Amino acid sequence: MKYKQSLFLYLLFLLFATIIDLFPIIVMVSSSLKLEEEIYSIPPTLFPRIFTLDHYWNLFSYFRFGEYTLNSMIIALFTTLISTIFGIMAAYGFSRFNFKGASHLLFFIMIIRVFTPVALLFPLYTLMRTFGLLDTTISIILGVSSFQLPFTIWFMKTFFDEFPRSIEEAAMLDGLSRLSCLWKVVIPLSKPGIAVSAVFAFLAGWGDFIFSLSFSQTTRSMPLTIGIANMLTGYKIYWGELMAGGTYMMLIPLVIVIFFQKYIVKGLIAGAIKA
Amino acid sequence: MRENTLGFLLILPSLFFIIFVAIYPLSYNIFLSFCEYNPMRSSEVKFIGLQNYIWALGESVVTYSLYITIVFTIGSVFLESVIGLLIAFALSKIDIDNKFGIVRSILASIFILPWAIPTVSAAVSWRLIYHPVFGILNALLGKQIMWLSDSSFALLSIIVADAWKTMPFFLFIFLAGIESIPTEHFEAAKIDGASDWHDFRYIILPQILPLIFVALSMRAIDAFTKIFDMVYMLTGGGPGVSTKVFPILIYDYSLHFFKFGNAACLAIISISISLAYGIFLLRRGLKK
Repeated sequence: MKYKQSLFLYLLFLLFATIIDLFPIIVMVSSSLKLEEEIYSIPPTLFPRIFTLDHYWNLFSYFRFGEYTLNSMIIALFTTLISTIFGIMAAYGFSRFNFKGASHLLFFIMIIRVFTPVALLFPLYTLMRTFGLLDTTISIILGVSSFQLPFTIWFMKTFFDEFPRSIEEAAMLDGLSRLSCLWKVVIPLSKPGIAVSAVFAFLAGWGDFIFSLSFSQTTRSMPLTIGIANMLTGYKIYWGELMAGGTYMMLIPLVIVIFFQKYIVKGLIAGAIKA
Repeated sequence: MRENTLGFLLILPSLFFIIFVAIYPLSYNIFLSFCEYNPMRSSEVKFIGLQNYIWALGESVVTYSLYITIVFTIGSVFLESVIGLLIAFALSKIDIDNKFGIVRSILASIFILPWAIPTVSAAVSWRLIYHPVFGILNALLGKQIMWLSDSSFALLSIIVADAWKTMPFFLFIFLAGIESIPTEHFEAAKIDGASDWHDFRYIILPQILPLIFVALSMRAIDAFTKIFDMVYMLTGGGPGVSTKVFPILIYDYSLHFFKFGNAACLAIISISISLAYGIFLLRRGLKK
């Protein structure tokens, strides 16, 4: 009896926490569906009286969200590819080979995680300018991937460390080389770990702000993050479109969360227990 | 021997990235931090010794910025860890009854959301919530507070928005910690008539204390070095310098004011602080 009572209290507390947790998202989504006048109404309404999708149409006809979306997609996908492929290679190298200075090298790579990306921006900016990469998605992809790599390397290394060596030894006795062993045996069996690093890399690329802000100048390379940020600097803020933009940008991460929730939680926990 | 060469070759591409994104910029910044380089005035890079560092130590904007970055770090880490711990505890209590297993996994999906959505999306929504005229926060409180443009509220507003965004980090780490405690502990305590508070205070807290310490110190360095997007989107560092956290200050000096010598010096200060902190943490970690 007493147990039921306290369970009820916990559920009540969690309901309350859930409402607060979802509140900003609800406000954004519902405002994006309101008519302009209703957004400015006092007191504010929680749900729209009249639904409209106008703000979403304006994003594409007036704010060039089509181009932004394409750029964001390119950045997120290539960040995922680069950091996952190179990350897996390096992680396997660190996990299976014991060459001179390997541990120093690993420490060296991991220490980048404590750097503030802003501190390295200007030298990177000049570097990009030298190579003519300013205002291209390539510059942004390079920046984001480099900061994503340490996480992938470290995460995949712990994954490979737990991977039983006997399976590889058996495969190598059957005549597979090291590399084909990695490709044909280790990687297929490491899919859950790869999924975690890929999801994290994708989210990092999709949400990148600092590198895009510094390197992109026109719609040629501008992703959604900067497109939305620029909506705040005009002399008039179009709140409806702003909310629609925020909601629109959130949709892909939302889908990822629904399908990969377990993986995300796994990555979060692993990321913390590093030290 | 050949084996090890292969190992090194596998690491090479990543190493190239790290050199390109960290070592080269770092060395260039160390060099620049001893120079005056202000392309708005002249394209000359002039060696001026320690003057940038002397400037940074004496400049009140810099010391103030360091101060509020620390306030921000402590404030947001404290807020999100306490809330995360409470929710994790409540969630772990639900799990005992299998009937609510589905409720729990739905709740987990909901609670991870703020962490997974882009900061830009989150910031946009907080802009509207904090709006002094038609924002919902003032309507709920019946007040007329300028949350983002009053210097006594701006930093607090950013801390709250950031805590909302990052709380899931602690929630799921603590939840995993609580769930790794063997259930026999709780069963034994139950026979002794322990209340939930006793469970929390005498079983859970001591068991996950090392985890709390690790999570707090990891998150603190992240808060200190990575706070940028939220501030940029909410206040841009203002009003005045009241939310000019260190990464924003560095950005201002480099790509806004084009005072690259000063910016490089600030960058080196920031990196030294995080390096010292990081090495200190690693040393402590190694001792255990």
